[in-house]
Amino acid sequence: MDRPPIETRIKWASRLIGAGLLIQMGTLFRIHPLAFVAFVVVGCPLIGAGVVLYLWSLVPVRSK
Amino acid sequence: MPATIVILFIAITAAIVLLVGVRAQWTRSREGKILAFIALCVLPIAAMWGGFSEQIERAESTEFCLSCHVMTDFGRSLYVDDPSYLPARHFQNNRVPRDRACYTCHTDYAMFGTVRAKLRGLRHLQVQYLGTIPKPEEIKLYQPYNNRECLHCHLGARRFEEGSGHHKTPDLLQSVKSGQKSCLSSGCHDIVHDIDSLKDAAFWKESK
Repeated sequence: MDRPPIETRIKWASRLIGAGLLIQMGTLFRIHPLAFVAFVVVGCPLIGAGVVLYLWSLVPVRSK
Repeated sequence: MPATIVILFIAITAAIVLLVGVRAQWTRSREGKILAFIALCVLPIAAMWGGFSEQIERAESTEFCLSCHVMTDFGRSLYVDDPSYLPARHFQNNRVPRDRACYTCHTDYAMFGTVRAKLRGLRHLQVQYLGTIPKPEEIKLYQPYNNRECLHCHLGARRFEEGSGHHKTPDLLQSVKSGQKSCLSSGCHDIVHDIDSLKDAAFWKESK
């Protein structure tokens, strides 16, 4: 059965956010500049992209 | 906030986020939509903010500063067994918190001093990972060390105000307070990290 597009986007958003959060959590186990860099350069963009994708999924699609 | 709580919060958030992803059909109901909004928008932003605050706080730690290879000798200079080394004297006698020794002395105690320190820290990260790392002996302060940073702790202290060394001339103390005479570069407390001399130095071993 086909999944509604909003649920597909929510699924992808949760994957992105989940990956970002897991990376951020991993960086907190060590005090090192690389951990900070990974947090900011990898973790934050993944979460940001996931949140944006989720918010985008809320925008109603105009029917033709 | 303790790091354990931040890690736990991020872990719980990640679990909820992934659960909502796996059970995306929950979002068909009104309650599910509210849950999705909290799980995919509110909680991740809060977790990210908590993690970021923790990272910023960690960036102030001595361990963080000394984890770059180029700073190793500066860290060793804190253990020199010679009280004429100013950072060693401060570090070993707990005049600065040992876990924040670098940050305590190398932050401007002025408005936006913390912000400036953080921006410089980002620049250091860029040089460390993308630029050409200087040799330890090439590392210099951005500007001459300001007495303000010393006076932040010492001003008003009896040892500072009444110490005989600060009354060698009648106007010495006043000129130090006004910044006319530098604490570090006027021939008084001029042995600072001096990493070039470390090979001949004896080191203090902290008793456990």
